[in-house]
Amino acid sequence: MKKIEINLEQSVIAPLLDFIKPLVEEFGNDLVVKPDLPPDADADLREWWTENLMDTLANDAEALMHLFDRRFFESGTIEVNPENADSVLRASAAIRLRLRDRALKRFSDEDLEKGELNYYGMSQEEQRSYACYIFMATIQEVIIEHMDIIHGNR
Amino acid sequence: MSAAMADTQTRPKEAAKTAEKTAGGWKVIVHNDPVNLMSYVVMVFRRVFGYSTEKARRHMLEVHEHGRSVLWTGEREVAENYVHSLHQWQLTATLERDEED
Repeated sequence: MKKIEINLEQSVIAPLLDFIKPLVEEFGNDLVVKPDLPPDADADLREWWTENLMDTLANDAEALMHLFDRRFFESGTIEVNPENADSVLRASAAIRLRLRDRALKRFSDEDLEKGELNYYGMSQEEQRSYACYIFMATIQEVIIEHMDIIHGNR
Repeated sequence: MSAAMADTQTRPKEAAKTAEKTAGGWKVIVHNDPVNLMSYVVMVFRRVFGYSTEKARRHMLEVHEHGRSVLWTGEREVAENYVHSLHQWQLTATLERDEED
């Protein structure tokens, strides 16, 4: 894949970043998907597994937040390239899962999957969470769509 | 090297011992979650297992409609690597012994 430049509306995205940042900072010591290993898996394997997932998640989160650097605040543009694409995709998934778990839990799986939520019936925190949830999905969709074009899967 | 192994670090020797002790057929199972996008799940299956888009999509739909899908069956250590890789991609995946083995 080649690099993708995505132009974003700063005034809309900047408040979402303030909301996402504290979530992302937790990733270095708290996994989003808890590993469920077979009962006979030994302690060393469990420890290695968890530490490796935490390292990956922390690195992914760093790559995602790095997108929103000086350039974004100057021009509204973020750049996804072959070096950061996987991390951005994974970190976006982790943020969506965390938002679902923290702030969107009262909504049914079905409504969430279909996107049939009443935005104006939500609390302010739910609205912010849902906006971030949709934003992360949009970033993922743009990257995946670009990958599909490159690999001729459309 | 498998696609899954390419994305993981070197495992401890103890893990290999575990695999030797319990050699046999193991299933890599992915469970449904209401969060991850269908296109994302298809992409992950293609990346981790090297499946075609068609096969990856079939498994994704099985997860979506039936709650789970067996993505791969084989040696435990390889299965562990796949599950670990799926966890890195934030999918809910488990390892189960293949009862037919």
